[in-house]
Amino acid sequence: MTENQEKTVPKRTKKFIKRGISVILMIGVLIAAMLEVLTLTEYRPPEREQVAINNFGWESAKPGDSLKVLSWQIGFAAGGGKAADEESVRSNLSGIARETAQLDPDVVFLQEVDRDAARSHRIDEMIELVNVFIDEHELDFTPAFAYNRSVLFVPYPIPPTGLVRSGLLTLTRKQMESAERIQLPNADKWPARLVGFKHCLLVERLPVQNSDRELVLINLQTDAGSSSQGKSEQEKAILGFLQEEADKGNYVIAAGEFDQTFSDADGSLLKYYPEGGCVLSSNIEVRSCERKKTGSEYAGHEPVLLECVLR
Amino acid sequence: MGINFSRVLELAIPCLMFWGILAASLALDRSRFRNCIFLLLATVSTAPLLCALTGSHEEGTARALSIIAFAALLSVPGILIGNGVTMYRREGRSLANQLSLILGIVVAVGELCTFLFYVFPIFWSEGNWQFITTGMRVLLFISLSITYVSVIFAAFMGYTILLQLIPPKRDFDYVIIHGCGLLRGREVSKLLADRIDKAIEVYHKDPTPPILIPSGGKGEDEEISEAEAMEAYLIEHGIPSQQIIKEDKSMTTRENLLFSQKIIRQRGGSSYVALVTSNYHVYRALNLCEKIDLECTGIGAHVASYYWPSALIREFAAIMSQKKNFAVFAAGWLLTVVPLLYMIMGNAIQ
Repeated sequence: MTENQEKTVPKRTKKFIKRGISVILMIGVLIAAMLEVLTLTEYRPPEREQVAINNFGWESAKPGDSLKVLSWQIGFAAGGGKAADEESVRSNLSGIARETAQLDPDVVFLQEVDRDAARSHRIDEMIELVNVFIDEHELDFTPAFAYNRSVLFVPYPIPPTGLVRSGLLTLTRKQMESAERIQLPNADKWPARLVGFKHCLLVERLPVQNSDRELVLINLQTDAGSSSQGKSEQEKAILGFLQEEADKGNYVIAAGEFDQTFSDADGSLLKYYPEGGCVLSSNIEVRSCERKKTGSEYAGHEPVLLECVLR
Repeated sequence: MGINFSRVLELAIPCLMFWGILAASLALDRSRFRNCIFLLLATVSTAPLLCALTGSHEEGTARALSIIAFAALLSVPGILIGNGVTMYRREGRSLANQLSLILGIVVAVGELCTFLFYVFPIFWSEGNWQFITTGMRVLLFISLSITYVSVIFAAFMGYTILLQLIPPKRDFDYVIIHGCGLLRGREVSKLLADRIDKAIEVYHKDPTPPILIPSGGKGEDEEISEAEAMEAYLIEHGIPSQQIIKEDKSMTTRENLLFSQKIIRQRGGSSYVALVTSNYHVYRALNLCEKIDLECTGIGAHVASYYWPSALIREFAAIMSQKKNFAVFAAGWLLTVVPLLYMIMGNAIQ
């Protein structure tokens, strides 16, 4: 730089530009650090994974049994908005348990159950729910849980959501054989994938008396945060799995929150019931399937109750 | 080996962002402490990328790297204490010479606390008495704080090495040589000779020979000024005397720079200036240059390796004792150690 040039750029302007670049560098470092940490701590489950269960159920299912299945997106027990404190999360959870107990289901599919999340004040909602069911309603459910979102820090909105570890919870009173988490194709691409859902199926297998068929219960959630590209891939994967199970002659009950239309599901072996958001194999007879107008003050969503008979 | 390219790309993006930011910040201003942190982040983020490049061996490589890092961490107190003993033998028992011994002990205490924090709960797994919780908290607090200081210090050390590694431009108009105390009041010490030798090297590599400015006044215990002694050394090593301008009034590093700057300004014209000093001192000298608005390139001279740790600690302490730097340092501590303390304690005690 010659003396002349040095004089044309006043010192103040120079300092101002330097400050500006410094600020940009700092923002860049924050973004890079966030990407680095989230990429390193990303939840990357295997395609298929056994889920630990302690089987408490004595009674096994048998042909001719009628079955009540309740499916509920409980919205991490925030009451449809934001839970103010631990106490309100707990009271929402006990409200959810009370409404559920009144409907007296054999199987409960819950979605968006937080195990450890800032938005639900780090309460383990699975443990809390199981305890409330047993203490207050004498309902001895066997839980099976699969994470579908595990993010160290969700950086948006303002104030940021922060830590989220949540997923699908299936509660059963019948005797159970095994439970498995099956990963669905990711709906998002990196970097959106880092903070989004890792959609999955939570599959439980229950023995059926005097029969080599199984009762296959599938809890699923795909409605949150996915692109249209991801949706059709997920639909294909879900249908493929359901079809495979139905082909074996198993009783298949899939329910949850999803926005796929399952237009191909109305084959001879599978039936789609859009009013309740469930897909069943045709060896199951539906008595009723409806959304109950209750409980949204605790969960922000209403539960779906399915009553059916195993043929 | 099956490299997962999307995984490599995902890890490469933040890593390259860090290196890019470091490069931009270096181009902007080498005297900023943030460069140390940027270098640390860039280096740390390179490790997972290297692991991902080994494809299906990603986890194995990560494990191997952590073992190496762990072994290095365990060896730090040993090296520092060993160095402290060497310093004590060769340079005497002044406090400045025992800095590495002290730091070695501090790091050892930190490592011991970390170890105890993990071992503690094994023996008292059943009781949940208050004093155990308090004890755990104290252990974790000490361990995290010492880790924090060590990490910042390591970043500073890495940056000092980086400053040494970046090749300087070859074409300077002036080379300031930073003086230091003379042996027996008139002889050039080993430390100073290394600096002058470095300046002579710069002089010979330069296509258009620069003016050398040996800088340093006459201390109370010195018979001649440092500049005079350095000039004699330069002439002895074949530098023509018309290429040397002495600066023999300064008593502090700040004055070294200020008075040299005055000489350069008096001669007029635009000028590229280099400053030669011991490598551990380059960062702080550049910092001073920035303050007095002297644009220059820092060039580090070799220093006897046993001398390096305590010199570096001294520099680090000098930097951190400046109010602004200390405020940033303390804020960093608050923003990292305190949340970590709560997070880890929350998980350790259910």
